[in-house]
Amino acid sequence: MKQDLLEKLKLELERSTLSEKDKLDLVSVFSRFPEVEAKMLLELIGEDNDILHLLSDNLKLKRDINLDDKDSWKKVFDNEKEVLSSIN
Amino acid sequence: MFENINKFSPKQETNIEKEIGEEENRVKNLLEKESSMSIGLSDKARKILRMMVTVSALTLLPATVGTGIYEMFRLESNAIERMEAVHNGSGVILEKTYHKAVNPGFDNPYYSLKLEINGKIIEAQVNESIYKNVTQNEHVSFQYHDRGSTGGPEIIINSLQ
Repeated sequence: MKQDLLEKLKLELERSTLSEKDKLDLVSVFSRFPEVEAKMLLELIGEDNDILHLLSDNLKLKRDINLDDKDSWKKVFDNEKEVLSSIN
Repeated sequence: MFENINKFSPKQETNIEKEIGEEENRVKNLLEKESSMSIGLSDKARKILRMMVTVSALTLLPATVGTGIYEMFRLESNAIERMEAVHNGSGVILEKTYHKAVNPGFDNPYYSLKLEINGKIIEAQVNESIYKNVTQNEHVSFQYHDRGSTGGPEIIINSLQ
């Protein structure tokens, strides 16, 4: 991701009410976003700061996935279905 | 709090650039599937799905395993239920066919088996090394996962009877 986009994302994160650990976790992933997705992410956050909380929850679930456990996958799948149906 | 995040040595930066190239490919591969996942979603929901797919590609480090299962789940909403619907049964191998490797050194030879399960005839590809001793007309017990449109049926033969 280009530095200017990353700086903007960091500013948005600083303004959020996420914990310091959650902010750092998101920066470590966001900094590796391809440019197109990074721009889209900034647009989304500009419209609605709650997106950061959704993505933070999503990231935590994915980091905790046990690849051998179907229930673990189901938690992620259910979370994403819930997010998308609430937004749609 | 973010002041130390971008301070890397030149060697670290080269490695990071290489990793980013690999990750971008992984993101790209997953996002290619995203268009079919987003049918019927609002513009905002579609963008959020894209963000979640990107997070998946960047966090599921065992990519060949993780993203494979992830894609299956994303593309077929009832994939989990299908996975849970494991059929145990026994039956007879109706046909066994040997297939040579198409590109020796890059892929492997395999067998395809035709089995009857609960009155339904199914065909599946199986790995040569595991099933080379299984013969036509042999009775076997097995587990059968119907993977629907995301892949052919998967058969795990438990034992010969």
